[in-house]
Amino acid sequence: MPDKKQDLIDQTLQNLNNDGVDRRGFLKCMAWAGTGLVWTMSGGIPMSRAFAKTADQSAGKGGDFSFVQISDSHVGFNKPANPDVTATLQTAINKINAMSHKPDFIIHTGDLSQLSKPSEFDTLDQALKGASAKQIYFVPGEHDMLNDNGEQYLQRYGRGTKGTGWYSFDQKGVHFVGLVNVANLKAGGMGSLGHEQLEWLEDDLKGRSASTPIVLFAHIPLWTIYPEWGWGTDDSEQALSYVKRFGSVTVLNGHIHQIMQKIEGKVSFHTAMSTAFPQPAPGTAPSAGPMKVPADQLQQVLGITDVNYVVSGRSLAIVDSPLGA
Amino acid sequence: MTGKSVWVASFAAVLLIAIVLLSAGSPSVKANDQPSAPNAEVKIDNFSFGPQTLTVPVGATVTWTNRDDIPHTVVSTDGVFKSKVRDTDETFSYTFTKAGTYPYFCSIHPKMTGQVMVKQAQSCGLHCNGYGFPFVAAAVLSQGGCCPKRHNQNGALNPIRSQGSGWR
Repeated sequence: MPDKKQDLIDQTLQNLNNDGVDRRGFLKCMAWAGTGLVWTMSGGIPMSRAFAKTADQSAGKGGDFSFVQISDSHVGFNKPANPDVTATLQTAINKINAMSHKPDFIIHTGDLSQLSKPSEFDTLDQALKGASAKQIYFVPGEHDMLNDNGEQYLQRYGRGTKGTGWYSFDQKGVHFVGLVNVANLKAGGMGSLGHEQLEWLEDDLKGRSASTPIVLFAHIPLWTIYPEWGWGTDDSEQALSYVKRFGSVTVLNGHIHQIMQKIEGKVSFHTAMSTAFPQPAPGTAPSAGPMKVPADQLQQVLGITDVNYVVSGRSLAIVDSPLGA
Repeated sequence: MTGKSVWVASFAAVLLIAIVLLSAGSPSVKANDQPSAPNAEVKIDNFSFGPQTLTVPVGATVTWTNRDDIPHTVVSTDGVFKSKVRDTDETFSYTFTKAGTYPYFCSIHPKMTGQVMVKQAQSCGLHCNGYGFPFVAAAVLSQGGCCPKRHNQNGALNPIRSQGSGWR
């Protein structure tokens, strides 16, 4: 996209909000307050509208669609940070079902279970049966690969996938790629995609028109957030080089149990809240483990992510909302 | 007393002293890398192994206990040992039968690393041969229960020192 047009968009965005909040600040505020404000791109000009209004207007309009990202359900976890993760998972599903527009599908960005136990996967499946969206796409987290190198995960959720569970699919002209960066992790390292998967990814993207919106989703963040806690992927640079030529790229991740966002050129990065328990912000605690918050605040730090795609638009509108909102 | 009985008595006395000293337990001389107790522990907490480097003698059993509120694993980077996933309060033990350095990590959270250093136990008592029992007694006494190898790795004679250090 020519720089002049990008400048115009940035300028317009800034003018839209007379309170002096720029785009980065806007995203920060949106995530913090969880207000459900949607901004979409229509004809290259960004417009912000209240969530409910936008949903009614844009949903189902020829080619538009939406989906929900949930993450880190950790079914089986039962420590003080949240003694009943199945209940909060159910709250998340209820919230999805209560949305005014029905999402086409759900993407779960990993850590379905806490200990890769069959009973935990069963409980998750049972809960998801009650979701309004029947199509659910998964990628595994490191908690889903325990004891058997992910054999069980693949048996349950890996039909049609390759290697450790990677795959791609298309929905109304948008190309989705599920990546696995939690297998064969090396001592002292972070997430890892591996040579075989990277080769497959390069091949998968080859020949696609640069105007095809791309959505990559994987468990561990595909950009380096905090290496001390392993919050990053060692070989993601190579993967991102393959999507550099596309006009709209959205990267959806989980693992860190909090919202982090970054926009770099045409690539938007987003991590989701967990439906189970929050984790501390980078460097604010001795380690990345479950963070206990007062019981009445728990619903504010867990959440789902609604992603809206408008055909005439250039990027996907990502809206996080806490369970308690 | 006859000459023979004097000899027998002193032989018995020396033997008795040697036996008593050899069964006295761990040596009193401790260098920095002196192996500690035969059963050692590593506590897993806050996404780290403590101590991160543990030194044990050959034959020791190391037990890892997970005190964190998240599951971890203990996996040798060289494929020597591999625990199943350990939730809070669960343990994993491994007995090291060969000397060497064993780096390991948690396969779920690979930034968590540690190592176990397994040292050959020091030779004691009957390895001090060729000098007769009276000498053994003196050497044993001066080393606090553990006597030095008479020859070093190159086959050269070691001087007898009163302080044990660097001898294996």
